[in-house]
Amino acid sequence: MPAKRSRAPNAKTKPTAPGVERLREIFLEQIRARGRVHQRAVLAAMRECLEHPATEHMQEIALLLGRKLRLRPQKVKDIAAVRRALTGEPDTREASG
Amino acid sequence: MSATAEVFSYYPGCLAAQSAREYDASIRRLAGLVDASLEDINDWNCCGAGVVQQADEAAGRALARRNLDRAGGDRVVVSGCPICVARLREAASDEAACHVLDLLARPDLRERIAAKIGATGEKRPVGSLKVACFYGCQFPQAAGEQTGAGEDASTPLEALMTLAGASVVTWRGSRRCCGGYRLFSEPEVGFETLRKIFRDFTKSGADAIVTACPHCHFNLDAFQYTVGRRQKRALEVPVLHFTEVLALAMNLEAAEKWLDRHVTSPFGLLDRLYVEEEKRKRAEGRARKTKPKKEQQ
Repeated sequence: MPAKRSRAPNAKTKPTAPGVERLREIFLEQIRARGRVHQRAVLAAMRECLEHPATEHMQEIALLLGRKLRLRPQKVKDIAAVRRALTGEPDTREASG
Repeated sequence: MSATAEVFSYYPGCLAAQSAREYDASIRRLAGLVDASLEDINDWNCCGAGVVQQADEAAGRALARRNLDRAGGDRVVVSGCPICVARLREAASDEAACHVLDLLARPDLRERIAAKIGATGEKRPVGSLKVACFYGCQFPQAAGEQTGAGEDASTPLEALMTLAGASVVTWRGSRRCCGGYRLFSEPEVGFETLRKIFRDFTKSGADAIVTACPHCHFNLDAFQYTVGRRQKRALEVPVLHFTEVLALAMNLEAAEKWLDRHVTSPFGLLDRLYVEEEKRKRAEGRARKTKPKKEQQ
């Protein structure tokens, strides 16, 4: 089924658009700070690109009340190892599994 | 869980730990039922989700590598997110990670799923459910090509849905991009992509969209309100995780709890399916009663 296996066309956006750049920044900030990406931070980035951000903010509150989003971010315990991975420093400690 | 359970390392991913907790719970429950033991990767981190890869490829690979290093020994890493699976594979090899769909579509596990569904004795409410399988754009990289589950030219997702008793509808939007993370960086473009998906879904005549990606699920489930509002019409499209459909077919009580976490409630659809199934059964029963009388005459 070659037609089904082929990669779907991506949304017509430029990879260098300012919103994409901002999203990358947020991702790196989140991973540097906690090791995992908090969805609320990504939603906040989305609001920055919208004409009427207040409406989407209400939607986010509804998602929070519906237990769809976590209020507080989760954090990796060994955050130093994640930061080392990001900066490309060799990890001298043995992986604990 | 039997003593002979096959052990896999489990990588939940950021979304399964947040907005798709019901997906995470259903994966764990189903894996347990088919004797596949999932052991969490201790202290896992974000896989980079492609966004980091675009900014710094080496950093993206290192993030994925850290997760693989923490997975025990030579175990295959199983994840429910095709984006995470693709990233983990890029950092190691295609054999290092697999999507939970590929795992459950394996012939031996499919047999066990079929036995569990068969043990319930009936296929309600899934028996009369028409599903539109949504693959998104990450799937060709992450799942569906290794298992050989689709001998009859069906994908693993279609094979599992058929196994659950649902009818699979062919539709145009199945391979469209859900907007992905671009929905967050260029929301106007993302909303337009979603609008096209819902337009295709309306034309398909299906009852619900079924996904195997927590990211696609979140975008389709949580943002359909926004898409509908912009079009000045109410959109109420139930978006289900494939694991939930299997759980419904197995009559698992926990399925109700998982479905309750969806933004767009699927309970209206399920109630309708239960009523339709009851009517069908009653009609079948009546036909069975009248048949012998006619034969006697």
